[in-house]
Amino acid sequence: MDAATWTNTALEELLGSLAVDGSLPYERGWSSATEPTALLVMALLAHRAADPAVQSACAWLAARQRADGFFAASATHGDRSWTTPLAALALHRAGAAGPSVQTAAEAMLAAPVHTFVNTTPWLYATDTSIPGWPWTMADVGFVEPTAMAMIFLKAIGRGGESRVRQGAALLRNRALPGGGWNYGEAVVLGEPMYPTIVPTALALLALADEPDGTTQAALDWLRSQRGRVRSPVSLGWAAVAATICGPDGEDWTTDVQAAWEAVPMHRCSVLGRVLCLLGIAPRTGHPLAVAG
Amino acid sequence: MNRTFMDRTHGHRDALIRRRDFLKAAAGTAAAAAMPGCAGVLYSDGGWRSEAAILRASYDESSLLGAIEAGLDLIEPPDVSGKRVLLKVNLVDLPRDNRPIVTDPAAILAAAEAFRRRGAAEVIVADGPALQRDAWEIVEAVGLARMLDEQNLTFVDLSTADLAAVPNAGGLMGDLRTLYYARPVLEADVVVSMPKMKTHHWAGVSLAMKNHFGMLSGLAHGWPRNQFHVRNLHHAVVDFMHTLQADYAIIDGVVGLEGDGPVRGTGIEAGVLVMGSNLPAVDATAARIMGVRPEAVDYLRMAAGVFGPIGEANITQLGEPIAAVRKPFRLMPHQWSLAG
Repeated sequence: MDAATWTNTALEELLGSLAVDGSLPYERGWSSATEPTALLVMALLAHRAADPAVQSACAWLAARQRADGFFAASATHGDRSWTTPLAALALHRAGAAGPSVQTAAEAMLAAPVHTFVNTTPWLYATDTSIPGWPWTMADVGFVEPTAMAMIFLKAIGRGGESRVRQGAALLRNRALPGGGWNYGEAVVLGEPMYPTIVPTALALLALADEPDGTTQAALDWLRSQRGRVRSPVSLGWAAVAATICGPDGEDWTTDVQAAWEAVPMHRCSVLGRVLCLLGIAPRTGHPLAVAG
Repeated sequence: MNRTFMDRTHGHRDALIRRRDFLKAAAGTAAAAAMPGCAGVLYSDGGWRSEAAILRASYDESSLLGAIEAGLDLIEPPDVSGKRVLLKVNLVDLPRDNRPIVTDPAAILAAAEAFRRRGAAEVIVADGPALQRDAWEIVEAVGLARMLDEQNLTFVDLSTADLAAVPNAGGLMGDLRTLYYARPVLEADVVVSMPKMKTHHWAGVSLAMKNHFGMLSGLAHGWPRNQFHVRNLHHAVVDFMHTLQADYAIIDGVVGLEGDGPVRGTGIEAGVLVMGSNLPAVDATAARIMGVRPEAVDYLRMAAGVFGPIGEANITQLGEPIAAVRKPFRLMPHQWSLAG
């Protein structure tokens, strides 16, 4: 099967999981959620931009936006959530110009975050005074929400904001000594922690337009994991980051296709299927790319 | 019939509410009482008596199943006949360097089989890993995915599952008045806490009560559910006990984790399962096996007399005696005062 046919077949299979309102859940049978629906929009834009599912998914996402600009995480949980930049980025990429995207940007730039000063170095060995973005409002900054916020704000041309620069500083500060990122604690009690795929991929995407030694070490680590990543979610994120940040010609399509075929449907979440499709999208025009 | 968080307080809810004011007051003095150098640590079991079962086991399939069935015979779990059982396992992070940081898949399968033999209509294996969002990467990496398939069992990622707001019935975490639980936990008839027997560099020990963290939604509380850590990890454990506690515990101590737990540290063969329906009694017993004084662990001391006993004299030990299986776990240097 050629790549185009395979992609179309995979898209059709994924679209079979859509709720009647055009949204997606994390797993079949669950309530619709913002993260998989936002990533669905981006996957469709990468492969089949004219599909009417883009507009229905965007409408569902837009309905998740709160008056304060933040987006809720799901159809059943209305609090301000870390999914805001993903939803807003999807709407932005889909051409939904207007107040919703800008309102989300202002909300993210003003999002409360907690910082610590004078942390004993042996405890975390990181600069806990750098804000970044938290998972939950007014908590401390973590790698993934910081990276998601940066990707969105850079994508809409707000990469020069001081909050984004602080986010970049947080990511560099939280990088693991051997390359890559985890959830956000590089060293605990004097011991280095382990990198993991998803935070590493997201941080690479957030810093894609400002590469340095930290990003190169992370990319090297990520590429060293090729062939070892097992789940479609991690594999999808790894493929996205490798495609966008890796050397020209980096292509994990065969890995993604093999995983799609090998992992039974019940062990592959809807989110995993979406990420696989994002993982095989070309670098040029990739919705998650902040440069180029 | 599905149970609610109210049901899971085991009929002691009135007592819990009456004791909550005491707990709030006690929390302020707990740290001082547990400081290194204190001659003793004050706590009261409040008249509670309970029991805990210790079973010798290896990861051999028949050994595990036999041990778990023996434990269930010694301390009966709730009736599971025709019901949905949720095994809340501990898949905290992807294991690296052969560190035994997750509930062993063999123990999970044996427990599932034991509950099926008791008539459970459905057994679900579930967790919301603390340190990484992609639960399936862990499930696949430790070989659990294939093993679950072979036994026709399903895994549920509690971090991204549908969620429900539940009032925080404890109140120790101040402004955090609403907790968001994964709905599969609320919809299960019987919840079994199946942690790894581990030391924990902040909590002291990570056992059945601490394992409740993974029942809460990552969508709402993030990873690694930092809201609870910064407010006070021990208070969080007690609040979770007030709000929704597991009905039974099976602690995988066949090979535990000592030192810098919950994800660094090294394996230690303890060769036991610790089981029972009273979580403080089970955790206190496991702590003693690990060479940790239960009353020196803040959350265990705070749970004493509210949810059950932690005093050795108030816990009937079934199966093996503690002395026969005691295997002191190495603690972090800053936790030397926990040893005993």
